Order: sequence, then structure tokens, then C-alpha cells
Amino acid sequence: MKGFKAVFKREIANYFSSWMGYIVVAAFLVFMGFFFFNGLLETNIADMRSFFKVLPFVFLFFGPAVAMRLIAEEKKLGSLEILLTLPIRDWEVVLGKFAAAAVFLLFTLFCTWPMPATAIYLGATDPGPFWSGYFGAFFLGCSFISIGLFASSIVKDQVLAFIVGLGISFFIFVMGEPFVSSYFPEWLSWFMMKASLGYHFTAMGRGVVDTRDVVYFLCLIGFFLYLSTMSLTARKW
Amino acid sequence: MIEVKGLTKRYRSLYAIDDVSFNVDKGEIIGFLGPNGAGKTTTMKILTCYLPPTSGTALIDGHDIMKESLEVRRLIGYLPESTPLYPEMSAISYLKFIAAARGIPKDELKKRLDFAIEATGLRKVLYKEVSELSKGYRQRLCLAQALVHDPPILILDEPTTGLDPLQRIEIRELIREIGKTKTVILSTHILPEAEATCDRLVIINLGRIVGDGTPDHLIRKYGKKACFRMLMKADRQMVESAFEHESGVKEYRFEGKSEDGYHIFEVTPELSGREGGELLFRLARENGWTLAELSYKKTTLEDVFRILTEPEAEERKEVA
Repeated sequence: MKGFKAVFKREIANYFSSWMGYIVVAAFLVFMGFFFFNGLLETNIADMRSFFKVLPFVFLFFGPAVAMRLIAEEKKLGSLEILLTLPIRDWEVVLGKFAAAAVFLLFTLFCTWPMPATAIYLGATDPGPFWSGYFGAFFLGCSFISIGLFASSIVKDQVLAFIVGLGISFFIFVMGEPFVSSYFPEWLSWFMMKASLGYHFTAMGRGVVDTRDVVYFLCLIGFFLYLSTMSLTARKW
Repeated sequence: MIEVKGLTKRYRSLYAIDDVSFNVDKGEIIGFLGPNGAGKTTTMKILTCYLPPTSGTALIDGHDIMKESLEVRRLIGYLPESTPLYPEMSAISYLKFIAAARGIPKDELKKRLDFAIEATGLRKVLYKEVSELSKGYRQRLCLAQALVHDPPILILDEPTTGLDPLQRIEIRELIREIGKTKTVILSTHILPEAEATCDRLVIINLGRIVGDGTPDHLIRKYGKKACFRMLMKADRQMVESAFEHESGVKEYRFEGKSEDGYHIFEVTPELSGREGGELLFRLARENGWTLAELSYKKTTLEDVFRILTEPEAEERKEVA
């Protein structure tokens, strides 16, 4: 676990010491703030519905953007060679990087506190959807990060990693929607709906935290972290 | 300490290294020599468990690089060729990161860091960012990184590239110093450096080992016999026919004409040493050649290197 800790600490320091990190947070807050207050004014209802409605689409960009650097950059610099010749297991590297990105995500979500605070101040009463919504948002963000991390592990270039990550994320997010799944045979489209990120995130947004959704998110994250580890190990094939 | 057995690495149809075997004893400093693309870096990457071999294996202090990779990596300090460091980190935080990842216990940390910093002369630039460091300091930082856990084995891929002559001497002395207690494999293509630093040389060409031994041994084994250089004014054909008919001359070669009009020959007489020289002088006198220079040419490591790595010497094996 020493390797995990060292990698985690280094990546955390990297996120919070680079201006890129803060730019990503700032951009995220500007977007979300815009949609939140816009929603408030349009519907005249003090809730977080419009916030959680656009969140996935902002996360689609946020996740891959946060993760794109993690492995691709190491490949480009060549520093992967030192990292992987340290007595650390490949999964420790992947997990350390993922955990750092997840903490950064948590920090970013925390920065949105003025929005629910405003909603409550304006009279929103039911805190249930807040918590489950944030809970779901965290899992969704982590899913996109794990996908982005995988993308970062298969290409050498950050920008390409971002695009690949965004592509995979988008597909898994919308594949349950009729406009995608109707092209596939019925048994497959049923499966695609159940396996889509959108389906499970919407379920959580309703204010119910179902264990099945949580298990789904954990499986998806685990799956992509596993693929990322495999992709690091693949140099040995 | 290091036992390399039949190591082969194939990229698609090309053999990067082909059946490479050699041993390194404890405390030895081995110079790994070869032209660019000979397979030095590939061999080092395999020994450090970054790449797997296609076939063959190596034992590092008894541990198999494939089966006990973690243990092997613990024993090795590795300096890759391109000094890949994180540009945004300061030198000290980078070293601390490596130390943490290597699991150096807290109570030893300061001692280990101090050792690595002093040995590589990094004290002045500790708090500078890597991106601000000169090539020489980056090289030192990378070396410090390889030393920080006090490994019994060091694998250094071209440790002196990009350094100025003074730094080069410093690093060379450092390696000599470290090599007293550690086993070192270093690659280079600077021959005098290898000769000065290493106990033994392993020469690799087109993926195969073509020479292995101390510099003296290699020169004796592969070098030409005592050879003389003659500078003279004489008709080229006559000289050549004289050499042809003289049984004491084993080999000769016309090297060309000097700027001021002397013919240059390289002659290897049957007899070595002074007797060979006497013979050549006699030949010149009897034939009336104007001899301007007659010098004994010692075979250098460079000659050996050239002989062993001549491109036409061996074609690289390809898979059909």
C-alpha cells in the first residue's frame, strides 16, 4: 500500500498546486451556477432539479478532463518507466491515481455548496433529493473518471485521452435511451438500458438510494479500473 | 549477482536482442557497449522488469525477473536513458516521492535522502522545480532517485549523456565510488569512459553479445597483432609488390595519401614488437623509400569496438 499512498499523495499535490486544476473547478462552478440559478428563475421553484439535470452533461466533460493527464502524460514524459520499475504493483498506481481524482471530484462538488444553501434559504424543504443527488453525482463522476483513466491508459496524448474518454462516457451514459437502443435487438437494448449510466443516475436523482444502483456504479468503476491496470500490464504481453 | 540467460526480445519480426547471456559478479562494474540500437536499452528495460523478454530470463540475486518482479525491483536502482522526471515537482519533493513509494521507513528517510543528495551534489538545487534544472542536474536527480534506497544493484542507462566534461568526470568518479560496494551495469558509447570506469565490458551489436571481458582481454583477443604505420615517399605499386614478396609481412593496407604527399601504409609484420619494426626499416632502406615516419600502432579499445560492431559483420536475424 506504500505505493498507493505515494502515488495518491503526488497526484493530489498535482491537482491542488496546478492552475489547471483550479480552472477546471472554476469552469465547472460557472456552468453549474448558471444552470442552477437559471432554473430557479425559470421555474420559480426552489429545488435542485435543474442542477442535477445538467450535472451529468457537465460531468461528461469534467470526468475525462480530470483524468486525461493521469497516465497519458506519464507515457509521454517517459516517467512511467521509473514509476513501473519501482517495487509497486500496477494496480496500486491505477488506484492511487483514481483515488486522487475522486478526492478532487469531491472537493469540486463541495464547492457547489452555495447552490443547495440558496435553495434551502429560498424554502426548499425536502433534503432527501439533495443528499441522494449528490451521492449519485459523486458515483457518476467517479464512473466518468474511471472511464477517463482507462482512456488515458490506452493512448499517449492527453487531448486524445480526453476525446476517447468523452466518447466512451457519452455512449455508456446514453446507451439506454431509445434513440440509441432502438437500433439494437430487443434483448440487447434491454440490457443496454439496465447497464447505462443515465438509467442509474436518474434513479438516484429521485431521492432514493437503491443498493442495486450503488452496486452498479461500483462494478462499473471497478471494471474500468481493472481495464486500466490491464492496459498498464499489457506492455508485458 | 546478475545472471542473464538466453534473453531474447522480439518486436514483431525484428529481434531487438537475441539470446543474450552474461553474468555479473557482486561488486563488479560492467560496461555495456554497443552502437545505437544495438539492444543495450532493451536489455536494461528487461532487467528492471519494465519489459518482459520474449524468451529467456535473468536472475537478480537469485530472484527471477518474471516470477519475483517486485523483489527484483526492490534490489535495483534504475536510471533510464531519458531522465524522465516530473517537471512540476521540486527536486526534494521528487526524491521524497520516490523514497515513499519505495517504502523507506521514516527513521531512515533523512539519512537516505542526505546520502543521495550529497553523493550527487544536489544540495544547491533542492527546492528548484525539475523544469528549471539544467540537463546535468536532471541527470543527477535521476541518479539520486536510483540511489535513495541504497540498492545493491544499479542499472544506469547512459549516465553521462548530456553532461559537460567536468560533470562527466564527477559522475564517473561517483560511479567508481559507489561501485566499490555495489554491482553496477552501465551503458555508454563513450569508450574511454567505459575503459576508465568499468571492470569488465560486454559489447553488444545487432542484439547479440559479440565480446565480453576486461578491456585488456578484449584488446588481446580481438585486436590486430602489433601493427605499424609507415609514412613514406615511394611508388605505391613498388611498395606493395615489395610487401607482397616479403614473407615477414603478414598483412598490409594502403591507408591513403597524406596532405603533404606521403603514402600511408598500415603494416602488420609476422614478428611483433621491435623486430617487426626493424624489418620494415630494412625494407625501406633496401628499396630506397624515403621513410618519414615509422610508428608502432597499439590496438585500442576503439579498434576492437570497430572490429566487433562492423555493420557487415553480421546481419540482424529476422523472422521470415
